[in-house]
Amino acid sequence: MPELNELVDQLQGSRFFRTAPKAVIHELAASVTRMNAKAGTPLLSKGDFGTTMYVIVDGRVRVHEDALLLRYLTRGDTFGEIGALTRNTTRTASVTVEDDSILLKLDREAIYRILSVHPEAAGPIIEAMCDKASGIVEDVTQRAIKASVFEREMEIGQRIQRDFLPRSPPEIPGWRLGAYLKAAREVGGDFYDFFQVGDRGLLGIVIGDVCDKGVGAALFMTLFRSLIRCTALADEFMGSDRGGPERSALWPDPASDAGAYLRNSISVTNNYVATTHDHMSMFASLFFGLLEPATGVLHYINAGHEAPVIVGNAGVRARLEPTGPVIGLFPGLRHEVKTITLAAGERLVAYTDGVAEAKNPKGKQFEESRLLQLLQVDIGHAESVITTIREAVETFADGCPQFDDMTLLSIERVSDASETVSDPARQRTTTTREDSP
Amino acid sequence: MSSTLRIAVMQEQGTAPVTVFQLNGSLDASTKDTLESKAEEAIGSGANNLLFDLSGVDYMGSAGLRAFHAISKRIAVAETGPGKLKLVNPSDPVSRVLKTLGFDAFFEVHKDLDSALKSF
Repeated sequence: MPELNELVDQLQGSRFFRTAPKAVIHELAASVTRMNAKAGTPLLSKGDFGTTMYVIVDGRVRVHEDALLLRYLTRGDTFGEIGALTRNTTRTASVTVEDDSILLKLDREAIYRILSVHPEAAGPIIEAMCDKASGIVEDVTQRAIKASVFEREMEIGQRIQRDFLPRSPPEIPGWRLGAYLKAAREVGGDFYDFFQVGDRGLLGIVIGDVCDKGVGAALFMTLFRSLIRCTALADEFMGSDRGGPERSALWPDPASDAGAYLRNSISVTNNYVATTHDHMSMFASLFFGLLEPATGVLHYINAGHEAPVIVGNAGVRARLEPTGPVIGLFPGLRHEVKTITLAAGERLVAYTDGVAEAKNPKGKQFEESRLLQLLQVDIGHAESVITTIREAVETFADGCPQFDDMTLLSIERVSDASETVSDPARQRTTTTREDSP
Repeated sequence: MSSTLRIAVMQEQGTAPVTVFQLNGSLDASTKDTLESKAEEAIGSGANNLLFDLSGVDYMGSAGLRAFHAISKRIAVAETGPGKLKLVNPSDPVSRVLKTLGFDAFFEVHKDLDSALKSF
């Protein structure tokens, strides 16, 4: 048993009791229990009722909410005062021993008994509680300031990332293009792109999904998107420097060799990320198609992406399965290039896995089969395909927060070539990027 | 949201010594680091041929591929010389993920433990 004097010193050494009268400290010392607690021992659990407060004589404890660390407390600190001094307040946080510690335990009954005999001790105890509360308020204020700076930074990031998506799909005679992207967080790893290539009206179509979520995925999204766009349009960029439209001998001509053109972009992008950022183990699944609008011929590489669907009046006609693996991890990959022709009235529907993996409050997934079922019946033009799928997913999810970004593209060859999308109001409805709240 | 992944590590002898990781549970963003540390522990103790038995994995997301990529990079500079990372026994849902992402371009995927062990 420790000497009473030693316990008096230890109590007086704590910030909470340092101004308490000597007589009170002596009585408290006679009522405390000293304990040795091993690292990992849980002491308080948030939400429980408790009547004990603790003084740390030596060691360190962790104040936390589940896995989230709130702060460490060390020698001279106290915890559990709110539970010990009030009858109806539960523990406000959990406390677990971080390093082997020596603690003094003091019970509510003893504190109130001593206070009834020494009412003069109430002042110092109220003062100590106020000191502690003001420290907590200051801490909360500092955290709120940091959170608001962080929130502002995320808003800026979100605005900048939005600029990495097309403002609206290009207008192509005889085609209707629609796109929808909803990020699960402020920023995310999904992306899509449309760009016109060369002087023969070819259209580049990209949909991609970078692994992981949030800021990391968003940084790599901008990298993958820019590398694909830069390699796909390198000749245009160099041509403007050369002052003329002549092609460079270094870059494959998309009009005469679509396969080499697509492979070139995919290889450069893959090799760049895999050799420059290999220690990050980040990758993207990506579909890159080159469409000849005049004929409906679509050349494509599918690098490990969910197979886009070709849909006609009779439902799903073909799936554009992966023609090679995801990109960004290992250099020197070989992707096959495939070709399919979209007949008048057919459309290409591409999406990211956030659609099939959307969850409802019971944790069930939307599933790809449900999506394919929607596509089996004619659900109208590009914008109504996107709206129908989006609404079906939203109804299924029933307000449940989603963990993955969701992207949908619909590229339709209209049956009557004189029909095109030129109505700006319709354009607005077909290009949507929703940001999470 | 966190899931669990139980990992049992066994030493087997194929043509060369092979460290087999029997995985049970979900291989996702919340369990990826555990797998990488277990592999690091084995590589640190001299292992360089690693075989991951996926028969007990009921879910694998993109984090699984990230983990295997990181481990394969680590094996390439193993203290005992560069070794190999192979996979065996993927369950049906895992097989679908491997197929879509194109894992076979990166890693050998075997159907049974015997042939996997002999392949090292």
